[in-house]
Amino acid sequence: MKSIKFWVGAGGVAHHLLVCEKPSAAKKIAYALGGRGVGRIGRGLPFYRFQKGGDTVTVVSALGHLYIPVQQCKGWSFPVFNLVWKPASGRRAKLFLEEIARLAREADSFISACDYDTEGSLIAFMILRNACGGADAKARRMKFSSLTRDELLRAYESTSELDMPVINAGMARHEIDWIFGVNVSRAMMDAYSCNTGNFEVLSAGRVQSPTLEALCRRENEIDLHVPDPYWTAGAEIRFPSSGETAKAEYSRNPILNKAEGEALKIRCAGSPGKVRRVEEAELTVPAPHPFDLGELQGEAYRVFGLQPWRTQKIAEGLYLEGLISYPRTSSQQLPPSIGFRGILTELGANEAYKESVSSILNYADSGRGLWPRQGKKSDPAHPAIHPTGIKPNRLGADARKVYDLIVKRFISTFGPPALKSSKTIEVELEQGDVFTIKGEAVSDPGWMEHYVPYVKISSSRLPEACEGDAARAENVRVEETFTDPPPRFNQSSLIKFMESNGLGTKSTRAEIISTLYRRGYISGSSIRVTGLGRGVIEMLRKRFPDLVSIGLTRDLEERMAGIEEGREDYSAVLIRGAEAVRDAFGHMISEFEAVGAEIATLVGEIKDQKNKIGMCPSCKNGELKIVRSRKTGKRFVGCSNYGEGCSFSAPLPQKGTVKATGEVCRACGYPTVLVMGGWSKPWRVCLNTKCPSRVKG
Amino acid sequence: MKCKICGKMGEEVEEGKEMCNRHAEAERRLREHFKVWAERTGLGWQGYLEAIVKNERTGTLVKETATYLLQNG
Repeated sequence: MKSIKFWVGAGGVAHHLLVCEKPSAAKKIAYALGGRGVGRIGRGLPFYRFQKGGDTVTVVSALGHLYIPVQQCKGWSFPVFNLVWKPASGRRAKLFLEEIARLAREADSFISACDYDTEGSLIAFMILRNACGGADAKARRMKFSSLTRDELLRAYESTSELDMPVINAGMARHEIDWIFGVNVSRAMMDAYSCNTGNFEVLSAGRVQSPTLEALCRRENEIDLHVPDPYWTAGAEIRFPSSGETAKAEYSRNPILNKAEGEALKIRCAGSPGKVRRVEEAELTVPAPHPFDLGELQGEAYRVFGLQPWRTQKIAEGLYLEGLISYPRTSSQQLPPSIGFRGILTELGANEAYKESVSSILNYADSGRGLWPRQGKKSDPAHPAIHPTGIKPNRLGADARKVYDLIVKRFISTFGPPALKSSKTIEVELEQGDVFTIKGEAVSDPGWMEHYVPYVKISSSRLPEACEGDAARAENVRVEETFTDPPPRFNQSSLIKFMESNGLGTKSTRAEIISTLYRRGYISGSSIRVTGLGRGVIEMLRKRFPDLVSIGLTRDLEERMAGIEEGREDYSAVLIRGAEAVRDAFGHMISEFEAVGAEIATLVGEIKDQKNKIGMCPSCKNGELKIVRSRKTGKRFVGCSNYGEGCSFSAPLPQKGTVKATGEVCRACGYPTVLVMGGWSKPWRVCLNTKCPSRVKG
Repeated sequence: MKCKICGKMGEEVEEGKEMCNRHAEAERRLREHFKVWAERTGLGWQGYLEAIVKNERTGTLVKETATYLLQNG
């Protein structure tokens, strides 16, 4: 590595050390501040150095959190409350910290240049305090919402003191989550281990458990749903004057009696009538407001089917490229200080947005001014997500989609309202039954034309009809239908649910959902709670009711937000969290054995369920299961009726994971299994050794 | 006492009851909704249970309970 002595200015010249959150951000910040004079030093762990205003500036990167809370003393026990912040484990983290500490010894001024949010503030604070010899006391903070040159220069020139309330809020969140997660997970694993002598990874968390509990409640409502019947009637109405027909709905839908529906059908079929009322109206649809993170995740899920965690990751990548503003924001508002015209003009240089931008600027110059539609939510730290105007070079397919969505949404917020015209025609039949024809069309697309293809500009043509015109009902239909169960959550609706119930933060929600998938507690894109997830929640409900309640989590979230806003004291909130865990354990420890037995039953049931393959094709009433030979230790498929004389068995591959498919072989009707291993694609295997279709699936 | 439908034991099956709490709740809802069905369709108890078992919107627990009641009712 090049000697840094070469760079250090002599005699009274300041040397600033800028601590950034990630290597890519460090690079961006260094080149934005230092321009062509930046020197990149080192290979694996590069840092950047340049001269600015006669001072030396060194830009160094962290790797996200380099300090994490851990148990103070060694040992596996619970409940534990004595935690300390220590360097994260791993060779890379150690190398980064050693390098930062070395560079800190040569600096006399320190600046936190991590992302301007709770996590970023905490990352820099821990490094400054621990690796830079207590430099947090004199460090300054750069506050920025995008990695553009102008904004970074402004942030560098106008640093402020470290945002201690935000840092304290971040510390409290990590410490409370540690106390909850470590203690409840250890309690569950210990209880299981004491009961069975085996070990199983089980986890619970302060936000994870109430979220899973809410999913279980929904699952329960779906399982207990009793559909009620009702009927809806409709007809085709023909207007003899024009010869046109239109679909109409019965005005008194739903019909709550089968006989009434049948009578209506007989009464109305072919019945003449006349137009009773024609109503036309115009509806204004205002431009959309800009995205906050939750809305962006919801919209990307709706239009591209992207999972929220993926959208968040892509948006963070676009931010690090300097293409969009900081995405972890709750704001739906854009302040004029971001420079609306400048961004739009730069976007207009891109052929894809040229026409939209020119139309928006013309609209603004026609006297309306350049004002975006603002949403209700605000965030003191960052504006709503918006493009910076920098033209992207090369983006992956998904990143290109998300970028396009953000740009089009941003442009649309400046657009004029869209106008929709609606028409309602009411037709009264001879016997007094009324059918209604409704239609809607976009008469002026306004902002909508800038948001295509993410909004559909619909139009439906309705027949021309006047009051008193003759009409006739044709093809009268009465359809039986049933009440639906509550809808299953998907990742997008679950994030919205978590947001409205104060579960987690904008940055953590997507990750918490991913954890639930990883633990095997939930599955599917239309989320189902697995047997394991349901069992864990049933046990937690019984033993730690407070820990699965949305109330406690929401209360703690509000208190942590209070620390950030200076309303709450860090220590008091931490004590409140620790007390909640302590109280829950007082009850649980007295029933430790029972808890262990419950978990053992649960894990046993799950394992048993996992081993089931399907019905035995030989005896027709036994169940096929994966069993291990006591003699050889090898696994194979055997029938549960083995003791009663069924000798069916089938060999299995000895490597990889074997999973039941729940399907039978198309060629021979035997059950099939999926064999998964890291060495190849999953294999679908028929249990019939003589089946001709034993091919890769 | 074991639940007659799923075989669960212990505190989930109340004294003197033949179903676990979840299947007992499913049965309670089934009986409650029968009034609605009878009024709207004129079906009797047996016909109602058959329609419930066939319906794809019916919850799993309700379907299991209705099947049990049909076979043992």
